[in-house]
Amino acid sequence: MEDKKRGLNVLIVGSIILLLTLPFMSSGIFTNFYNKLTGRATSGTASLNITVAAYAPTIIEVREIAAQNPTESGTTVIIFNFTAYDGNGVSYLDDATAEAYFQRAGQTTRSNTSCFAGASSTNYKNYTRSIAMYYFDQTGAWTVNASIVDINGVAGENTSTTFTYNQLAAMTMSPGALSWATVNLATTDTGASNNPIVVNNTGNKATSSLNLTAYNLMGETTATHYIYAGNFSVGGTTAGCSGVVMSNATSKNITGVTLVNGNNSIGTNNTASGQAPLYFCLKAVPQTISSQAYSSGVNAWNVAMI
Amino acid sequence: MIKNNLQKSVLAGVLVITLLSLISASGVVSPYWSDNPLRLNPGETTTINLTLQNMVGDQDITFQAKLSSEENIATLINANSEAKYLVPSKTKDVPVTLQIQVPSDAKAGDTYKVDVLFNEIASSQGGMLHVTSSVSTSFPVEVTGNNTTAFPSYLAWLLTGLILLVIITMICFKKKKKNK
Repeated sequence: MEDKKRGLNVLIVGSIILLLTLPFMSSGIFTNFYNKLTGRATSGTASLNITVAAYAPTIIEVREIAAQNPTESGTTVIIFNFTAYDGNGVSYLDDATAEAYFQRAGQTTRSNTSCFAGASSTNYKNYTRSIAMYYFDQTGAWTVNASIVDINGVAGENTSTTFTYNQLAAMTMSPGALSWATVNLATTDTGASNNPIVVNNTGNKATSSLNLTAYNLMGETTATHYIYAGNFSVGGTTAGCSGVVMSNATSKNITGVTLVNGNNSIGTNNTASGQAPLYFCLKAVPQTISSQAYSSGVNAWNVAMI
Repeated sequence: MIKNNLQKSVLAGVLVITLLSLISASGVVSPYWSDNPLRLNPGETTTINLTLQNMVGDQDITFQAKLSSEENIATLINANSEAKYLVPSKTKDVPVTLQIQVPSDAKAGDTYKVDVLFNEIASSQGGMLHVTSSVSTSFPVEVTGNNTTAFPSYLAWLLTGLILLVIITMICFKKKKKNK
């Protein structure tokens, strides 16, 4: 009985001591005392920056852009709209920073600095943009990248919209005339005096071959005399005399000549500029023909971009 | 021998050939190409528009279309009897309408190729050799639809029987349990 009483007393006293000690423990007195003994710093200063973030602007929508057709040897201007949102209000949107680009991997990004701010409400503002696509820009899906920065320098961007740039197969040829100066019966392997005819890819079809259909040239005075199509050869290198021999009314692929899309204004007359030169050669003249003018009559020679 | 030399001297310096290129510009826009096929279901019919352009030079150009397609799935519609299209200078929106009809017995995964060649018709000018241009466009038509192979009918019956057997067994089992 006495033991039980003693145990109860110990419990009560122990509880009282624990209760009295707790405040000191929680206030860190013991830790402080320990730190003093060990030499640890008991207090220090720290700088704390608290930034209250503004709403970041977002481009909530870029209007759908229908599939676009390239324009032969020119540009196609695409006008489109996008909407920016700022939770702080449209006054936070910096109109001067509204931008948009057309992007496609491996292609030059198309852009334009003019961007017009349009109608707005409390938090939304519309922007109109026009960007020119070139005739040689690659076919396929292009991504619209629209962005804006608010007055706090926080940016918002949207790249969720794409549009299709269609395929344009187009070509031009120049110069306007191809001629041989003086030709006689002994003439062989003579290139045209103003070789080559340069074929320009004025569209964006990636790769094309060139086929040429030649016809016999008929005497304009004596119609029974011909310079045969087979007397001509056409190739992609100088003079073209080692090129493909023509055949009357037959489409012949000019081997080794490929027309790709490119910027014709570079003017290098090769694939870099989307051009292909064609060299014409008169290999020989039939030995029995008379001196007169020869033409193809109603049958025009034809260069086909296939 | 003398006669031959005389003939050569007469010809010397008088045979001048001139090839005149019209600097013609021809172009055709297609919404479909080799990497961007037209996709249709078996038996489905649709119309698409190609667009002719003549934006370089000052001459009007007439094109004649030559259409070829596997299984003759494509036809020119709204074209005149000679399939000729006049494209005035500085225009880029002359439509060429094609109707594509996929055979009803086509299978998913089948592909048909459609080719259209536009030949420039030369304007007749005597004493010259004209060089005209042609452009072509081609695109595949891919047959879409349910590409999975049909479930064999005997397997379907087998599965149905199996399910019925399970249901009957369960009913019997429950009945027996109830009777107990």
